Amino acid sequence: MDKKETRTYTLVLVSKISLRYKRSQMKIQQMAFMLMALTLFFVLIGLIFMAVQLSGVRESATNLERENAEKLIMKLANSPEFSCGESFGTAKIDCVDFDKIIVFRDMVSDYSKFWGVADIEIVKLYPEASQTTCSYRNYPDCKTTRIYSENVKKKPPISNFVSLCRKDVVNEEVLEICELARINIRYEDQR
Amino acid sequence: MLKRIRKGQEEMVGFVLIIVLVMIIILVFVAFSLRKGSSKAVESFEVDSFIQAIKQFTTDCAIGTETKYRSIDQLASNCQTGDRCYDGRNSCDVLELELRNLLNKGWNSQDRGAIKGYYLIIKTDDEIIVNITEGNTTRNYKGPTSGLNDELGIDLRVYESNL
Repeated sequence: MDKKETRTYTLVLVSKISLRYKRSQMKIQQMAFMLMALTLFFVLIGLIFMAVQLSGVRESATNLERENAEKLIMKLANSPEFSCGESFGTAKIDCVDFDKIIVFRDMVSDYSKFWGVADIEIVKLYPEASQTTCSYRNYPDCKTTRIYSENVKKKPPISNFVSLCRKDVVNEEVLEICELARINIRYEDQR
Repeated sequence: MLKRIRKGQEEMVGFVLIIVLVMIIILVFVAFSLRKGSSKAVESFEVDSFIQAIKQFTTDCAIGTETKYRSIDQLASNCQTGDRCYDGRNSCDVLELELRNLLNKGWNSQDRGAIKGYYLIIKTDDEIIVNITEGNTTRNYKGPTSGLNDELGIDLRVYESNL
């Protein structure tokens, strides 16, 4: 083998090795790319799944809190301090005795922390009444009866419907009048 | 050699395309399954309380004597028997008017933005006494709980904006 042939042979060998090296590089790149894409794919699926799950948990927590509050309102409306009892014929559900609560407001300090809420008020909805807070002076032609209120930062109100019943005298006859109202409670905002 | 490199590149592009396609399909599926809300009523204690409260509501329709004002519960029975109020009004007209006012005040969309409409029906012995529909219906609505054992047959649905 002369010098020229040796050179040609070396060149062919180098080019062959270089091509093989490039092919391996290509394979490694392909592999890396595939791994990255696969990881990204599964991470995205995981993220979507987590987001859906978390939103469900948050929603059910809110619903649970709301449901508890609604049940508390129902319990409040049917407690002896508020309920109509049998004053208006047979025992009624979700019926608040207006005559009772207007007097009860004065004794509410004894009930501090009893219900675990920061605010209780009853708002008459229908028939419409003048936009005033109820007192002995304007009773029963008033809209809002504030029963209990603590001087703290409060959460937005949660409310439920009640029947607001009272006795009235028309033409020397005692009548039972029930109106539509809402009982609003607010919890202390401890954040 | 060049052919082999090209083949590898084509494989990569194909793989990327498949991944993108699968991702799009999954995203579309997730979006659809989230948007597809069931049209089943949410049992609501609030609706129960509203029904209880309106049943006790005293209307301005007196029947029999001048001061014998009837509750919604009683007026529904009077409407069924075709009684008239002491002042001559039809008891069914008064019942419907009072119920419309009560619904309007109780489920006012101005105070409670999410409410889109409501539907109330009162029936006894398969006879419809009152049927009130207001606003729009949606798939997301509140209805009475199964615990509400209502003799009068009041069904109330309060439609809220879709989630």
